[in-house]
Amino acid sequence: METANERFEKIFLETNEKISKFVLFRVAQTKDAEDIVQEVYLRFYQRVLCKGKEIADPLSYLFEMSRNELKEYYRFKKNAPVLFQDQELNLLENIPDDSDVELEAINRYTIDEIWQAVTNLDAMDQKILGGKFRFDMTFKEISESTGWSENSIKTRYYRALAQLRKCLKEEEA
Amino acid sequence: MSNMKMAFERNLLNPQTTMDHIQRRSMKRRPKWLWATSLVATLVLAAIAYGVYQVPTTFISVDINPSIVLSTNLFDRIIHVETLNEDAQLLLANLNLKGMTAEKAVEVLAEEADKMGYIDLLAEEDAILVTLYAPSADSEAKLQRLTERIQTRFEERKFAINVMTQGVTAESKELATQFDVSLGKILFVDKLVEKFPELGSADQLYNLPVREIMSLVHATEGLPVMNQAQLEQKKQEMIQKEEQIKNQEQNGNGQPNNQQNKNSDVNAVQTQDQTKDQTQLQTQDQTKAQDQTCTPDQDQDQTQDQTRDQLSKPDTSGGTGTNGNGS
Repeated sequence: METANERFEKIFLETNEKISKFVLFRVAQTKDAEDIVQEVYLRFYQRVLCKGKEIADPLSYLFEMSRNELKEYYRFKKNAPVLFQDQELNLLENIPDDSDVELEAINRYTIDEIWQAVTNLDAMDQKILGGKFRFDMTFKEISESTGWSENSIKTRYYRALAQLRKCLKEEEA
Repeated sequence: MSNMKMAFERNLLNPQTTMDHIQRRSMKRRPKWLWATSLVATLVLAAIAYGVYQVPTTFISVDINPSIVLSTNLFDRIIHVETLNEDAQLLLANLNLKGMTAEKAVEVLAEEADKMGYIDLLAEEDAILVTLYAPSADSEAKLQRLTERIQTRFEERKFAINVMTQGVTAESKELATQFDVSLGKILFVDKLVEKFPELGSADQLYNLPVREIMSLVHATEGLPVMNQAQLEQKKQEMIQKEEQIKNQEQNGNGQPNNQQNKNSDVNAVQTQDQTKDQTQLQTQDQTKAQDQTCTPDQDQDQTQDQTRDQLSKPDTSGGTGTNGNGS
């Protein structure tokens, strides 16, 4: 018979990625996303599993808990997801051909240096890069999560990479 | 895996970080029974502390003309105030002595008595008699300290006050054991019976609660029933009258100090420190000193008459007396 801890670990591994992606694009800062995800799973563990409650569909249950947690977040922290005016990024800029070069340049730096530079980026840039590199989301998926157009997401993404490389160069200097 | 990806994997919504957080928070949870136990323990300690605070350890009788008995706790704070005559009730109107230190309470009483004309604190021959009753032989040192504190407070103000400590006699100890009550209570009841012989035998009173004993005292003395407003009003009138008299004296109208204001039943008695196992001789000494002018019973009647004359008020209705404010 499974213990509560074993059940939790199993459910956590199965649902963590989806819940994290769901929350990431609905908060203002990436740090807030971490806090909310931790709080959701903590409550799930304490109030459901530790009390021996049976949940038929843990993923749906966790999504519901996440929505509730986000409502509280919006209410008390007065933080709504940043609503970019998509018209601002309506310019169909040419996707630079050297995007892979940017990434290659960035990868020469250490993990800590890269992350330090990432924390200095705009919150939305962090989330887009996070969606790509942490959760391997496509531009389309990120577009659906944020409500922006795919073009806007791409533009923002490449601008973020350029900014990141610039920051790392400046740090190195 | 590129460094870029690893940077995000490690630092953004890392599953291991989330698990660690949950484990830490889960371990911090205290079982419910521990909360309940803590709450019960807190309540019990609070009740014990309250009980200890309320236990009287020393009785202090203050005799001016108003006679008042103060009970203090372990911390020398006033917890009960009992009045032994009508003047005491008036004196304590709108006064709250509870929580005060013993020496502060005696000082406040002296000031109020002065304002109301019961004593002239600047006259050397008058005095306030303060008697401290030791509940046990062990508290003699404490009594001594309390005596010194009271004397010091009044020395600084140049008031004439005599402080006596009533030590524990062998007979008192035996009575305390026999009746299974504190020594302080034995001494307190003995004083009451000495002051109010109508109460009867002290043996019948030792086991009664103090409040019940005081009710008997008030009933015996026929203290009038007055509500708080009446007491305060009467007190205010006495204070105003006393101020008028003092103003007249200051203006040099040629009238001598008003002897009627003085408490002639309390005389300057030499300050004595009573030691253990003294016999009834000390009681006789007190009586002798007081007999230099008049007896306690005569004193009481005399003073009450004087007070009534000053006020020129009709007699209030008789009945069971009630404690003044602060009891």
